[in-house]
This record gives sequence, C-alpha cells and structure tokens, in this order.
Amino acid sequence: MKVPLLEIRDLTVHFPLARLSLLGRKRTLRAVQGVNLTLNEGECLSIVGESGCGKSTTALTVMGLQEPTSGEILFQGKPLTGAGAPGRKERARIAQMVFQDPYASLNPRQTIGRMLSAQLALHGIARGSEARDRVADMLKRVGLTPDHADRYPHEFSGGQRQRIGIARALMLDPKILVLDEPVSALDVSIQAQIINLLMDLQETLGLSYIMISHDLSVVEHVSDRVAVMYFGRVVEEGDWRSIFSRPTHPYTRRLIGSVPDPDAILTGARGLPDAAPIPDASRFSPDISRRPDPDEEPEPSTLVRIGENHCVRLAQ
Amino acid sequence: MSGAPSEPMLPDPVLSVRDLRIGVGRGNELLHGVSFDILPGETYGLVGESGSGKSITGLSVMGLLKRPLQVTGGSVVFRGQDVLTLGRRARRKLRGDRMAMVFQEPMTALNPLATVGRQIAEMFVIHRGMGWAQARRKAVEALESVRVPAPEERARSYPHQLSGGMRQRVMIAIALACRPDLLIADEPTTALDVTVQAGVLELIAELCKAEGTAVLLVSHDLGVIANMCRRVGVMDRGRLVEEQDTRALFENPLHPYTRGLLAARPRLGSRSPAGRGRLTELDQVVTGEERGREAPTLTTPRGLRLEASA
Amino acid sequence: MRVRFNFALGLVLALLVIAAAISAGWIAPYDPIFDADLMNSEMPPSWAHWLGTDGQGRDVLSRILYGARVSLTVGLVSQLINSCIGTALGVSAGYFGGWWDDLVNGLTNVMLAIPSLVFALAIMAVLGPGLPSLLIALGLTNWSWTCRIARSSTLSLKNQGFVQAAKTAGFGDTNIMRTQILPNILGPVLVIATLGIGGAVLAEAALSFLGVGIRPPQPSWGNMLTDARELIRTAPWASIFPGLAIFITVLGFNLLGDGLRDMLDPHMRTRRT
Repeated sequence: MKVPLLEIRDLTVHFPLARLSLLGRKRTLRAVQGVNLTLNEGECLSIVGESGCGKSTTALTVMGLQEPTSGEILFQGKPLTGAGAPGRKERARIAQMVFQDPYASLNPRQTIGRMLSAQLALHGIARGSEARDRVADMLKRVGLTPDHADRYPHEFSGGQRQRIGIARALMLDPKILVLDEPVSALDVSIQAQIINLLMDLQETLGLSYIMISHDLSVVEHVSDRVAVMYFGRVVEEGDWRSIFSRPTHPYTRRLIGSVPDPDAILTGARGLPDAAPIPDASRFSPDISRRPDPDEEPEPSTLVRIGENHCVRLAQ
Repeated sequence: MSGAPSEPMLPDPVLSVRDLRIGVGRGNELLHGVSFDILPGETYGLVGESGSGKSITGLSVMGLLKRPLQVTGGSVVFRGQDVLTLGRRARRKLRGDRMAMVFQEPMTALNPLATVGRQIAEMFVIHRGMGWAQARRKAVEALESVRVPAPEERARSYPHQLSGGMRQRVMIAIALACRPDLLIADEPTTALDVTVQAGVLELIAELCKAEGTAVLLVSHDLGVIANMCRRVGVMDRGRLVEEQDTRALFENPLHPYTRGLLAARPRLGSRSPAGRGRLTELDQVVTGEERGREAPTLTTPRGLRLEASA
Repeated sequence: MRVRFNFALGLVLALLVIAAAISAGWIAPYDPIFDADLMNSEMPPSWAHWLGTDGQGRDVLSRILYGARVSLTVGLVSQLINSCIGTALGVSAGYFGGWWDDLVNGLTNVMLAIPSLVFALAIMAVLGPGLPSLLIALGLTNWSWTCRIARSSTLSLKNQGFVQAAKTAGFGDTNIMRTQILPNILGPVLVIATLGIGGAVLAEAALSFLGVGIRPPQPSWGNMLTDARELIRTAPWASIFPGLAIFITVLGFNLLGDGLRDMLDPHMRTRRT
C-alpha cells in the first residue's frame, strides 16, 4: 500500500472565545473538529463548504501558519506538526500556498523579480544570473514574460497577479500546492485561464493539489476527490463522481442544490440526483435543520463508507 | 415587429435609459452610450465582468455616482421624468421612496450604530411622515415580510449581531418599505454563502412581484441572472453589446462576447467521466477587436407581450 | 489644491530654517558669543544690527542663526531616535503579539500618561545639561505615538497574503519585519516623525528656557528667551525674534507633516473596480 503523500489525522483546532459574562464559562470556537483527510500523489483534493466551516483553517494548519490544538499531519509518513516537525525552511520545500486575494498577496514595495529571486537566495538554490534565469523561466511557465520581473504589483491586473502568486508558490519546487479559493476573486473570463493553467501545471510538474473552494462548478471540473465540510467536520467525502452524481448527506445536497445553474433553471430540470442509501436506523450527523452553536460539544458521529470511494457522516 | 392594431400596446417603461455616458476626469469615458428600457414590474438583468460599467450604470440611475465619476451625456427617464435634469433635492426625494437600491455588502450599507428596526422605521418617518411609534410597528411588519424570524426581537438588534443573510434581508426591507417603482440590486448575493443566496433572490423576486416593483439586477453571475431576470443586457467595456430574453440568450447568444462568457464557465454536471477537459477561454471565442470597441448592440426587438410582469 | 499648498509652504519654511542653520557660519555678521559690545547693548534694530542687540551687546540675528543649528539638531536627531525606538517596539509588538505586545502597550500607556517635559526634565537632571543629554532625554520621551502607529500598521499588514507568503517561503521573522513590513509602514511613521520635529524644537526651547538645556553663552532660542526675560520693556526685540524663529520652525514642520499625511493618504488606499 503506497503511503499517501499527506495525511491529516484527527485534526482539531479550537480558538478561545470571549466569555459572555465576567464569571461565565470559558467558550471555545471549534473551528476544526477531528478532521481526517488524505492526499495521494498527483491528485487534486478539494475541500468545499461555506464560510465558517473550517476549510481555510485546515489549509492554514497544513501550511504551518496555524497550530493545531490536537491531531497530526504527516507528509510521506513523517510528522509535519508538533514535535519533530520541520522548520519553516524545510516546510517551504514541501508545501506552498496560492492565496485568495490577488490584491493583498503581493508586497507592494517589491518588484516581482526581486520577490521571486529572494526565495531562491534564501534556500541557496541559485543566485545572480542563474536566479534571474530561473525567474524568467517561471514567469514564462505561468503565462507572463521575463520583462515583467522588473515591475511592481500594482502594474498588474488581478488575473496576472494570481499568476504571479502561482509562480511564487512553484519557485521552490514543492510537492504540494494548497490553493485557497484561487479564482474566487477573479472575473469569469480570467477564471477559465487560471484554472486551465493550474491543471496544466499539475500534469507537467507532477504536483498534488489541495483546493479550498466554495464554488462547486469549478470543484467538479477540477477535482479527483472532494471533501465536504460543515461546521468543522467532514460530512461527506469521496471521489468526484460519487459526490456529484450521488450526493448523500443533506448538507451536500443543499450545497449542490443552491448552485444557480442557468441550464437547469431555464429548462426547469431542477432536481438533484438520488442519494446513495445509508444503513437502516441511522441518521445523518450533524442535523442541519438548525444552526449549531460553535461553542457546543459535537454529538458523537462517525464517517461510514457507503460506496467504494464514498463516505458520509452518520450519528452513532 | 410592429404590431397589428388589435394587439395590446406595451405600457410605458418605468425606466428608460438613453445613450448614457459616464466619464472620469477629462476625456476618460467609462460608459460609451448605454440604452435600455425596463417595463413596470419587469426584472431586467445587467451582466458583465468588472470594468464593464454595469455597477456605475445602476449608481447613476440612483444618482449616487461619486466624484470624479460623472454623467457626461444621455438621459435617464424615470416615470416620464429625466432625473438627470432634476436638482439634488428633488432627486433625493425620489431615492428611497420611488426608487431604491440594495448593495453588495450589507455591513457597509447599514448604519452600525442604529438598530435595524430604527433604520427601517426611518424610511416611513422620512418618506411617509409617520410618527415613530407607528413607524416602528410598520418596521416589525416589514421584517416579517422579509421572513426574518422573531421580528420584534430582531428589530432591536444591531447589524453586527445578524448574519450576512439576515442583514441582506434587512436591506431589502428598508429598500422596499415605501413600495418603490424600481429596485436596483447591485450584486445582492455575491457576498453571501451559496446556500443563503437562493433564499434572498427568491425573496426579492416574490416581494417585487407582489408589489409590481421593477427590478434592475446587476450581477457578474450568469446563474443569478438566469434565476431572476426576464430580460438580460450584456455589458462589456462600457457598452451594452447584447440584449435578449434570458432564455433566448442562453440558448442562442448572438454576440461573440456573450458566447465567450457562457462558454468560459464550468457547468455543473458537464464533466465527462473520462477526465478533465479544458475550459474554453474567452479569447478563444472572441478576439480583442470584437470586444467593446464600436461593437453594435445586438438586441431582439421587444415584441408585444400580453403580460408585462416578470 | 489646498493640500499641496500646506506642503509647499511647510517645505519652504523648513528649508529656510535648515538653510539658516547650515549657512550660519558664513552669513552671520557677528560672532554669536564673543562679539559682545556692552556699550551697544539693548540697541534696537538698525543697519548695523538688523535685529538689534541683546542685554550683553551681542547681535540678535547672529545668535538666532547659530541657534537654528541647535534647534534643528535637537529636532531632527531626537526625532530620529524617537522613530527608531517607536518603530522597533511597535512593529515587534504588532507582529509577535502575546505578552510582548501587552508589555509594550503598557509601557506606551505609561509614557503617554507622564507629561513628556517633566520626564525629560528628570532625565536632564540625571545627565546634566548640554546638547548630548538633551538629545538623549528628548529621544527617550516622545516615541509613544510612533510606536502606536507602527503597531497598528503592522497589525493591518500582518494578515495580508504577502506576509503569510513570506512565512511559507521560509523567511525568518526578523527578515519579514525588515523586508515586508517596514517598507510598507514608512509612510505613516514619516508623517508622525515630521510632526514631532516641531514638538522637539519646542521642548528644547522650554528646557533651555528653564536652564537645564543648552547653557549660555551658547545661543539657543530657548535660553535667548531666558536672557531676554528682564528686557521685555527695554529691549523687546531680544525676545520677539527668537520667539518668532521658534514659531516659524514649528509651523513649517507641522505644515510639512500635515501636507505629507494628506498626500500619502489617498495613494495608500487601493481602489478596486
């Protein structure tokens, strides 16, 4: 059995909340609760959900920008968090991130050439003219030109900045790319270009992606496997076909049902595909008819396999 | 299509924009002459990407364009009157009363220091001359009509205590309080979670239909437009390049830009089991020259219709 | 545009003072300390002495020109020290947060509560009078606003993508504070520094007036005011002109700072279409 490239085991991230009154009970925001995910080499795993579901926090934990409260993350079997975790520099060669906001993700006072070559210098990969060549290559790879290296971020459009963000992430040859809503802030016409670019790069460079998104149309198009998160927990998980052709958990069904799909609307063919059957006498967890309090203890539940590559969360 | 005398005539449009031009500074034109009509009770969508000019069109109808942007030509005829020729005071009286607007980011559009009940009640006090006590009662009714649970309690809440979807409902309540003739909704659901979006759009559609309020919906999301609008205008780089009935637009887009826009979006359920295909990129469908510049407006003539409502 | 006018006027005045300070050695008609002609003391402005003479027959104009050196040195150097201290504390507090942030905030609050002149006075009492002690004393008392501004700017930058990106690229914290954060907060810090120069000049004048700053016979606008205290009736020009010099200098730098702030402000706000 091949060791998965990345394993997230029982990841939990809690944030302390202000007490409601001076002597009130301590409250915690359970942003991520016992999440288990694996990423295999060469695949694209998407984590979907709405705001507050914990997908971004999970991504930040993988990147080392957020400490987990408990649980562990393993890269090729070796720990990425906790004791024995590698330092920042070593981490940088393992996983890199493409950020959501193309306008805030570049230092306005650095030319992009400088920004890209500084990384090479830091890791001792290349200096001087060799670094310049590598930067030029990378810019071409993401669809820009080498003379863009001397420009400042404000001289670029949103789509171009996102390309620069991708170039930055790839500069250090990481194995994993975490994409945090990579196209949400872009116009529709630019989205297509960036998505195509990301797919091409994945194939040519043999990368593995974790994509965080709320945009299901893009997710369906790009992913190999999908995990649906709701208030800190994975409620359904599987390969893309299972998730989109047999969405089972009520939350997944609600998500897919809310996507305003022009064709479906105009032809009146509104209707979700059938769900996969679940064992008798079990019910889905959590109950999505009421909005859970982020502070309350979650009910005991477990991910149950309902298909070859398809799990859903049921109450115990 | 000129009609035979026996067919019913169209009512006068509630909004008639003709050759609207907006510029910034000297010589920089952002909107190059946009024209469209909205009939009473109709939902009309304006779709385009950022920089297309759709938002500033909506703002100029309301009279909310901020310096240095300004209208440099054309007319905006609302209920028979060119509002661009009205003085500031007259325009202000129309706002909130006869024409209202709902914005993308409810948190910045609502006053953080006043309860939502008060903000709705204000509309009645200012535009209908009601007393505060009566206005507050009406405000609770308004919250109920936008389906906010526990409306009396909610009326005493401040905007920051409500979720995004709730705040948007409050904005809708404020906008529709005086039963305006025209509601302009500028990306009303873009900042909301996708499961909340559908509810808010349904609400707008339902309330406007009940009161006969015409809606100008500005959005970049074709799905939202398809959901809500009877007719759609496609904008690109300051020009209206195509205008059709929504269904016709999706089935048979006329302008290359529209075709490119429709093709670029991944459709749910369109991925083949064989593997990932590439998305069609806009410049594979429409070249730079075909965009914006001197592109003729392709519209289907507004046929005579039996019902004028969406 | 009104904004530009502020900046232009401030710049002109500031440059005037700087020019006076630099060229004092060449253009001052008399020696400020030794050309003391008691026979000609308390003389009103005349062709020989454009601004008159003081109680000891020294030329007021020359003393003012040399005094400009003192004021400017104190203003610029002490403000530089202030900015360094304030920026270092503010950026690190904002970046690291936690107990260090709490500590720096507490310290800043204490400093803001103590009247700065009193604090400077206390330090001068320990260090003794003179220019170096003055620079240290003023440098240590007025860093609080710079610290506040640096901290809040750092906080708003800290969670922007490019700072996080630098972390993920493997850069260390010191490097990030230096290359990512610092260049982006210089704007507000510069504005505060410029506005602080005027304050420093006033403080120097006050301390020298009280006798703990620059000791006579070295001319300083402050101690010129002290000397001229008794001469208000007989030789008012000995107080008026140093006072005017202080006024022009402080006004000039304040306008400069205001103008800078207004000019930098709109550019810092990124507009999204």
